[in-house]
This record gives sequence, structure tokens and C-alpha cells, in this order.
Amino acid sequence: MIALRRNRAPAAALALFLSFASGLRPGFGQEPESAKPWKPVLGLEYHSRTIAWDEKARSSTLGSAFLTAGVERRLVRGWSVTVFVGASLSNWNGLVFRTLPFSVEYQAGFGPGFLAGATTEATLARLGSWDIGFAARFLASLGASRSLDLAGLNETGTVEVRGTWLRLEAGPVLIYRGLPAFSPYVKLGVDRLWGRCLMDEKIRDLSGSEEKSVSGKGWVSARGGFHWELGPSWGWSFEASVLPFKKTSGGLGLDLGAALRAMVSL
Amino acid sequence: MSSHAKLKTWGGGMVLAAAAVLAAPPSGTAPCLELPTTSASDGAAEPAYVEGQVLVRFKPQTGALVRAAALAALESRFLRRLARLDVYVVAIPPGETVEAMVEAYRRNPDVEFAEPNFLLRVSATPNDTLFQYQYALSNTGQTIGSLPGSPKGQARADIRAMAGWEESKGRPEVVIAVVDTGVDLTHPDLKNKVLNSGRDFVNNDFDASDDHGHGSMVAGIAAAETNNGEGIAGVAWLSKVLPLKAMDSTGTGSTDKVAEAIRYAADNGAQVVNLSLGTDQPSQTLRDACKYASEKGVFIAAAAGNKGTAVHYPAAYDPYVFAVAATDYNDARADFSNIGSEVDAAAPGVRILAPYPLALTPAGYLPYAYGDGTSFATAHVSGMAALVRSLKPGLSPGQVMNILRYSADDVNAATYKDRDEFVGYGRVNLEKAIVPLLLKK
Repeated sequence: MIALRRNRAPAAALALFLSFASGLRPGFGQEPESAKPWKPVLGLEYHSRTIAWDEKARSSTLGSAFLTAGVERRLVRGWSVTVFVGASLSNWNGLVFRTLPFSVEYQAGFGPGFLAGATTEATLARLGSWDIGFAARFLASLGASRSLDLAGLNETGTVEVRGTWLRLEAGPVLIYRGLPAFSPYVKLGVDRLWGRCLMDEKIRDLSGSEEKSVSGKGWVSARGGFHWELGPSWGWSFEASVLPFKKTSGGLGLDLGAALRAMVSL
Repeated sequence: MSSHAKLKTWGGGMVLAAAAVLAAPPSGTAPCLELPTTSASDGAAEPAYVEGQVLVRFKPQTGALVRAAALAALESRFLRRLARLDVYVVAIPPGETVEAMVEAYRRNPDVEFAEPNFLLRVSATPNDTLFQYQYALSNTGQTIGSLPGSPKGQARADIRAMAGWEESKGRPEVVIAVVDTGVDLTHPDLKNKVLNSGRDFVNNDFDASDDHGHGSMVAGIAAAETNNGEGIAGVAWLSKVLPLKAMDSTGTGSTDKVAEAIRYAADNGAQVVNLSLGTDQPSQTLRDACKYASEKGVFIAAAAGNKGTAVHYPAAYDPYVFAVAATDYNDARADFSNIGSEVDAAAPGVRILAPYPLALTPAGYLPYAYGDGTSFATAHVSGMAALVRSLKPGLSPGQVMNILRYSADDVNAATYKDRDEFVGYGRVNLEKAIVPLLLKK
């Protein structure tokens, strides 16, 4: 068999983002006339990302789901910043630790953690029915330590696992404002992910520790979506993304993503 | 305690004389060659494709001039054309990456496809002609030998070598010192595996040739040249052997010679020392030599002994030495295998096929012999230790020992659950020792 890596299917991401605020101003929706400067935000999201490790020679997929609560602050007209914290679940399946005394492949699924992040959005120019803006988001997930039994050996063994990852997305946004209550948009931007996963192994008097540095494959993602105002107090949006990356075995791979968001104004 | 106590090779003197008669198939009846199957190799250190080359196929209607211009435009050099496939093998310009050039070719509308010249690898099933008789490495329940009446083994009563080889086949830098009767430096399965002509402490020279046979067998089990289309497979495909002759042509050696050889191994880069020898007399000299080597980071495996009595020395020198008992092709303890709390683990040591010196092989026989003994069990463990050290060079000898202990299969759990004095933690398992364990909830 050729030493090809498996042609990993592009990861699909589906997100549900709920936000409620005293004055609804969805990210790329119509600018409300009387927006309040502070708005609470609640969000739920899932994404997966192809990650490379061992000096980019190997790859796997990092899946993450998170629930966040935060607050949005309008700084000036057309520019807002949102900060949020929450709980995250990260799935490092497929990550292999080969310098521990006993090599271990993580297949234990999602592990809990703490998530914090910030989003900023700004409208830079308006050309007819089009808004040109900038959007950026930063996410940091700090995994909680998780103790798992190492099965199959003559002595009882345990490992402690904790993973951390950071994600940064930034780039221009083009929004069409020519339709009532419906605002399609496209984004193109840098989309980077870095992470570390630490595993401590202990089997009687045999112990070791290994920290695995990972990075997201690909640098630039393209996103397209729309926001649809269904009423004065709620709306929803859909976003699809594609992130190309170079596969280890050669050729091009794609991480695909999708996000569904519902927003409620209180 | 005499530093000149005589040590015996375990599995050599008595076993070779009695049982390890040359029962290898005569010339002309060697098994058929096993063609390699496919590989699942995806090692980080192994390149995926030929550096500096790209495979290109142009669309059928593309003329020769256009093809040549396309190659020239990308500063590529034509190497050859696979005529029936109409695929060009081209050399890319220095400094360019294969990935970039593949993309560049793909952008050319005249190009049907472009791709790296991927490397294919043989599977971890070696093509050594006698591999089918090596039940210790892969036991499918096959008949062990070509002669009528040869026994059959029980499937999976082996060290799971093939699964382990998918993870590692060793590294030449990891040297196994075989302190024994020497090694046949001309044997086809050994001549390319010896680090040099070794050191002869019996005759005090630098030619550790084997005048007995035991050392060659041990060296071959641990690290015979593998996937070379002949003979047997070694546990550590790529590791080198340092031949150290401390036992004479009768399979006997003195403690001072053995101790000197152990120190020599530790001082000359060996990471594993195989001691398929022993005595029932303890020796401080021997113990100190083992301690010296262990403290220098050397893993030492030694045969428990073949008398069914207490574990012999140096195998009994805890914590410096890994004591190896013997099992058979049914995963049962060999009845000759010595017993004691010092036994760390067991390995196959009954009817083990191994290289035999050319000069000692009777006419009409292949230079391979079957042998019984904890000596040969120990050689399997030494090969495994070399593979562990190849993958994880930072581990201490004690850590390697624990890996081999904790990953062993408790083959006599029905009667002696957990560690016992017969097979220690059980029969060693290369797959569990080096292939990543799946961590599940």
C-alpha cells in the first residue's frame, strides 16, 4: 500500500448561536436605530478542525463544542466588541503520544474545559447597498485535567490529560443591505488555531509526561452566510465556511464548516 | 564466590548437542518466497514521496513541443517516460518543493494530472524464506518445521512481532551486544548486521567468530537481517549486533571474561546486552559488571536457566538484569525453564529456528538450526528491548524492563494469576509494548 495518509473528509461544523440582548444588533444585520451600549449574549457552537502535530507529519481532528455567556459593548457607531466566557468540550481523538513510556492514542472523546474569548466587528465603509467591514474573533479553551484508566496492562495505570487551544479569526466582511430583514454576507480571513495537549502517564513506578503541540492546518478561511430578521425581537442566521489546507501526503484538503445561529432580543 | 566460576550458555551446550540438531529443511526444499503485502506505514520519519521528483501526465491531444515547453517553463528536467502510462517522471528545480511544483503543473491546462512520486513500502511481513517456521514471531498454528512429525503451535502463542513491526523495526544506532560464543561473521543473515568483528575475550583478539553456534543463534533471533529474501527474521530488523566472545567452543566461559565483556559492551555504545548464559554460583564480579552496565543505561537480559531449578546468575541480579523464562509454541511454560521470584517475563524458547554457523553446518543442510532454551527466549527479549529503545531512546533500563513486564500476556493466569515465579508477568508482547494503547473512557 502506498504510504498515503487517509484522505480525510472535510470536517463539517454545525453551530447554534443563541444571543439575547436588550436591544438586538446581530453581527451583520441591520443597524438598529436605538441600540443600547451593553447587551448580554448567550451562545452555543460546535466546530471541528484538522490539526497537525509531530512537526506537522501527522494529523487528526480537534472537535470542540462550547456554551458561552458574555456581553456586547458598542464603542462607537458601527463598531462593537463582545467578550464572553463559558464551558467547552474538546475532543482530541486521534492524537498519539509516542514519547511516554507506553505510547497512547487518545480516543476518549470530549473532555471539559473553560472557554473565554472576544469578538469585534466594525463597519468601515458603505457603498450603496453594501457594507464593507472587519470582523475578528479570539477563542481560548483551557481544558480541565481529566483522569482516565489505561487498560490492557498487567498493572493498573492512569493518565491525566488536559488540552488547551487558541483560535484566531480575522478578516474583511462584505454585507449586502439591499433586502428588507435579510442580510447576506461573505467573509475572508486568517483562521489560525494553536493548541497543546499534555498527558501524564503513571503505571506503578513507571511514569512519564508528554506535551503535544498542535496547529490547525490551513491559514485562510472563506465564509458565507446570511442573517434573517424574523421579527422585531428575534432572528436567525446561517454561515458556511471552507478552509483549505495542504495534506501531509500531498494534495489539497478542505475543512468545511457550518453555523446556525438564533438570536432573541429581550 | 569465584570470579572464575564457569558459566554455561543456556540453550547452547546441552540443548544444541541434544535437541537442536540441524533440523532445518535441506537445500532445495526451502519454503516459497512470501511476496510483500501492502503497508500501512505512516511513520513520521519516513518520507512520503521521492524528493525532487514529480509525475506528470499531459492530456492526450497535447503535442510534443507543448509538452517540452511546459517542462521548460517550470525549469523541470525530463528523467524518463512511463510509455504505456504516458506519465513523465521529471526532476524539479533545486530549491522548489514537490508540493509547489505539483500545484504549478496542475494549473497548466494541458496537464491531465500531476502528483508526487509517492513511495511504496513493503509490509511488516518479512519475506525471509524460513519466517513461516518462526512461530515465536507469528504463530498461526502452523507446523513448525518441514520434517514429518514437526509440531504445530497454537495460534497467537507468539510475541506479536508483526503488529509491533508496524510501529518500529528498530534503528541501527541501537546496538545489541551478544556476550556469548561469538557470532558467525560470514553468515548471510548476520554478516550485514554485525557492527564490526567484535571482541574475543577468550582468545584475546578482535575477531569474535563463533566456534560453537550458540552465539550466532542468539544474535540471529535478536537481530538477523530481515526482509532480505532468505533465512529468518530477527526481532529487531534494523538494530546492529556487537559480537563479544566470552564463551569458548564448548559453550563455557569464565566469570572474568563475561564480566569484562559486559563492561566492554557498556563502554562501547551497546544499549542492550544479551546474556544467554549463567551459573548457579553467585559472583560479586558479575553482579558489579551488570550494575556498571545498568548504571550506564544498558538494558541487560539474561536467561533464567534450563534446569528447572532456581534462577541462575546473572539473571537473578535484580534490579540490573531482566530474567527471562521460556514458553513453548502453545504458550505453556517450558518444563526446563528455571523458577524464582527473579523471573521477570517469559518468551518463546522451544523449537526456535535461528542461524547456525556456516562452518559448523553439515553438508545438505541450510545454515539454520532449531534450538530449545531460555537462551533463545532471552534473545527475543533483547530484540524487543532494542525496538523499545529505538522508539524511546530516553528511557532508562528500569523503564524498559517495566514496559516489557507490564505489557506481557499472563499466559498462565488460569493457574497463577498475576506475576508468578514461573513466567514472571507472562509471555512478552511486542505489540502491547510499543504500539500506542487506545485510551478510551
